[in-house]
Amino acid sequence: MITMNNLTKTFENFTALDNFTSQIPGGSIYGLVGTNGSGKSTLLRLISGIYRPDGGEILVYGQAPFENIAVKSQIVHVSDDLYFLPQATMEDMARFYAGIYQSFDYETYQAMAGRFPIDPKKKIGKFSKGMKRQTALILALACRPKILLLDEAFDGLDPVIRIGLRKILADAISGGEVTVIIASHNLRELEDLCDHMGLLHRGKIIFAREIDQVKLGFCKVQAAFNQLPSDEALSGLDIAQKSAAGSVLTLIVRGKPDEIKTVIGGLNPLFVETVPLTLEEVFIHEMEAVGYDYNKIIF
Amino acid sequence: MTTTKSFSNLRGGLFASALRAQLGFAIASFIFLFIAMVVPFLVSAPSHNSGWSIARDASVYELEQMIANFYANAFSYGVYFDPSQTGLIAVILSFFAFACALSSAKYMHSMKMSDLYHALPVRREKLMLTNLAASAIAVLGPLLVLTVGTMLGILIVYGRYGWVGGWFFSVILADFLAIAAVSFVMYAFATFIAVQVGTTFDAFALTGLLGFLPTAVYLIGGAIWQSTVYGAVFSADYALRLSPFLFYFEIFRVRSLPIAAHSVWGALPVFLAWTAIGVGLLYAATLLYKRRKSELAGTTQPEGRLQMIAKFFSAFCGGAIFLAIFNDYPLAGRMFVILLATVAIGLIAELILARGVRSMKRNIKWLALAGLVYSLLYLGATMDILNHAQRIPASNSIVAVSIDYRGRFENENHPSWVMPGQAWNVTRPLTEPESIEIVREVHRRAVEDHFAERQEWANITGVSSYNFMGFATRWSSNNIHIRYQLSNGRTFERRYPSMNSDTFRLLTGLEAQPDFIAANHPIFFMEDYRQVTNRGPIEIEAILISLTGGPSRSTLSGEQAERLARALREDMLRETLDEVRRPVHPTLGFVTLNYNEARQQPQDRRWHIVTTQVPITAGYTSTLAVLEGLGAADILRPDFAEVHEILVIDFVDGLSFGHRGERVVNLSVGNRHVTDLRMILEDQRDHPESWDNRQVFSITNPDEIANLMTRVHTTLLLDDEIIGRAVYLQAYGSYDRSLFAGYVLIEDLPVSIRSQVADHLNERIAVRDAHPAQAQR
Repeated sequence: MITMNNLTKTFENFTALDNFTSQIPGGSIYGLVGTNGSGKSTLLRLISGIYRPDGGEILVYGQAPFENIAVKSQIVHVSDDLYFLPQATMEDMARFYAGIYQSFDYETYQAMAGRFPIDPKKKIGKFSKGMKRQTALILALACRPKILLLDEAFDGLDPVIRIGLRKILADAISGGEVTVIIASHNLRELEDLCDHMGLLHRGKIIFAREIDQVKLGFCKVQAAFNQLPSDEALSGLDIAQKSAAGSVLTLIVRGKPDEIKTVIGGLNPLFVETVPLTLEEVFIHEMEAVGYDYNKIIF
Repeated sequence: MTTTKSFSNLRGGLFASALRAQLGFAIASFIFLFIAMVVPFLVSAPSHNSGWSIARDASVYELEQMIANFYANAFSYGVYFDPSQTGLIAVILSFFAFACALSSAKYMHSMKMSDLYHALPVRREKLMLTNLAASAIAVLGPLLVLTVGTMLGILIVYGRYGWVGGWFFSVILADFLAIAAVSFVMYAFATFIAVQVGTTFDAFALTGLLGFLPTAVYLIGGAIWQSTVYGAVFSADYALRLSPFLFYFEIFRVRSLPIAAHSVWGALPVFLAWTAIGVGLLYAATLLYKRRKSELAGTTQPEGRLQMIAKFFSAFCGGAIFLAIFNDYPLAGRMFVILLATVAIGLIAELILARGVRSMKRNIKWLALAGLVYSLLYLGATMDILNHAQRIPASNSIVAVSIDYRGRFENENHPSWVMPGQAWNVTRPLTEPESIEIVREVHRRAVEDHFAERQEWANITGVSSYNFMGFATRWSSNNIHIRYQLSNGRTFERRYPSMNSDTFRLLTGLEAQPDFIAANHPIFFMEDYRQVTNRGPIEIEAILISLTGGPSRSTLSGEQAERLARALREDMLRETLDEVRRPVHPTLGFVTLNYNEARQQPQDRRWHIVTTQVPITAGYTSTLAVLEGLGAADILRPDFAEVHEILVIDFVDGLSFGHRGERVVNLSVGNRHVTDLRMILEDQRDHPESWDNRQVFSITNPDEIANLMTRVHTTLLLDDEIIGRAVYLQAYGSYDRSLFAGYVLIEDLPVSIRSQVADHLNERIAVRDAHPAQAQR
């Protein structure tokens, strides 16, 4: 469990996190979404103890991580801009981490390294961007952290590599003991990986939810009518969005699909069907509900 | 199978990575040190081998000398033997320490490195100390290897001699520790700055700037103080020790006694102080490291305080430089220049530090305020609001005083140059209350004279504030230098450019004080001198007696030397200072004394033999009696038959005898300052057009020579009066061998040339008075 209470971090005149309050449940795969400068990387650095909070507090397993060796030894942070020791091979880096993290597991390292076409004795400097990402993730997972922080981990990678990395990640965390926090500015990349999601904007969290709950709370309904029903006829539904094209009515409605379908069915439609929402669509409506324009935040 | 545990122990971890990062510096350091330490040895090896057979037959003392020279020219980095080589090594290692510090701190200045290192479960102190350890190995490791190698080489080659022992190695160890301390301080200082800034460039720039800050402020402030406070003496004693970059060079201000080489030990307090400061800086760096505001690595955000110090320091320097350029302008103009220069240079510094012009507008008012403050400080210094110019220490706060001064007139000379012997040193401290009061009175009158002159100037010009600098820097050979040792352990020092006849009369009284005499005649007042200087007793090692006209010598030692010294003392005490300056009797010959001025360490003795030469005249009756008793008087009776020719020339312009400050020359045989008149004579014959108004006269008649030789003065006070009455002569033997030189009055010259010389002299003086500048040239 990671808890942030009124967490604030400023750099000169720039406030990266402003009274940030949230919780990240243990064992979750938490997606942090936001534009550049929204505070995602700063939050990860505060969790990993790179930065010291200027205000409020951040607690990892009940302790502040800054200069806390016991806490930090359970966290591995993979930065968006990767750094490896000069002239180092993956083997050298593994030794480096092994010398620092008591939990480093050489067998895990070997097992994961063997699944990718990476020469452990080749200098990392000569690796492609995707290979460097793979290397960083393998090394991070070999440390067997309880909290894994990934900053833009899948950014700019081709689909094959991305799938590979996801698989590594999925296998490594399958035990459910690892908390993974993935920061990204691309919500679609996280959709099928995370079970929790938080949206940051200008140093504040706009909302944070469990993805399944978010998705279950909405339903997209498409129905055809001889004559479109009036608004009064639809007043029994909590409609988030309504659009009509000819005789086809499309609604995004809060509530359970079965109940919504029953209500629509009472209006004698020619046909009616429920369609699953993308996470992006859910976010749009959730944010609109709390007064934000999603397009202005993400795009 | 490799287990997790064994794998972690293979090669890796924080220290290994830190060491790996410094590997390049270690290699470079080794190469540079090899060039500085070993290559000179290889180059000089052949000459060393050729001297080996000589070394076998040499005495221990000679061996020490040879080894010291060899060591200096060969592979020593030794502070002890070769300052330039040691200085070079210290500079090399300081540079690498500086580079290593910046390199070690780079992980704070690069975002991606920061993300890696600061996320590790490692305390920041450990990160810093690990880098320090790796840097220490990179910087000092090569030095240690080369030093140990060198020591082993010395032990193998010279181990059979006693000097290769504990003492020798302790010196080398001291040198090593000194260089380690310098490197450490450099590292600590650079790290202290590096943890507070956002980029390596800022760390580099600010470390360089702030490293020289104390010394620069001290020197500039001292220079301004000296130039504005009448009589102030700024000795810049602390210039080196104030800077972490320069304090090492304090060792060059200290000489160790045994071989008069530079030593670490003398500068030990400075080294210890800076090492303590280095430890403090490193500790402060670890604290600041946890609280650093510039966590946003890679961003130019120098710590506000450092940036401010750097900016206003640059502005201060700019103001001082422009003040020096415009120093001849009126006071208001100078103050305006300080203001403008402060703003201009401050803005340039702002531009560089802030990498942009946005903050310039915001800061211009603060720079203007700083310029105003600097100007007002300068005004305060000029007005001497702290009354430094008129300050004279109270009698009860003075422990001792020393005074150094020139003669009565502008062109007169230092008393030491007309006194017999060369031991005169008026800077030795006087402790008698009477002497202290005389010096205070001299001081008071010098200040009074100055302010009277200043008032006169103000009355004439109507300008109440004038540029003191012109007066303060108008130094000639005529000045007084007073130094008080105060009871609080400090020194108060003043120097004034002139003194009047009243002041000189006071100084004449001072010269009669027992402590003054004792302080300035160590050979003759051994016990008094020993008490004054708190040194060991003076021991006469040998007395040499030489003849004026020839090479005959006799050496006395032991009881005979003591007797002669007592006689000399008796004669000298009888002789007044004025008689010394204007001898009544011609010189018969010289007694050359070699004596030891004993020091604290017994082994230092041989390095402090003092040689002094006393001209013996007919007035030295006691001395002559002792010489008679010793059967050595005959050698003081010259054989004038050996003199074949005497050449005579005037010394109206004095330039033939060196510069103006050395007009009075103790004209012993072989004096280096005397121009060979035969060369002048030959040049006149070859190039008569170049010598239109100066002439060398020749005397070759044996009777005239014999008569003239009894009237020669070897010392003479050359003031304006005597220049019109005396000429300079040189005597030559067979084969134009120069025998001696001296002065003679016109009336003592042979009749054959007397009127001719007198006319020529008058003509020369008339030319000089008509064209003084030309005569000076």
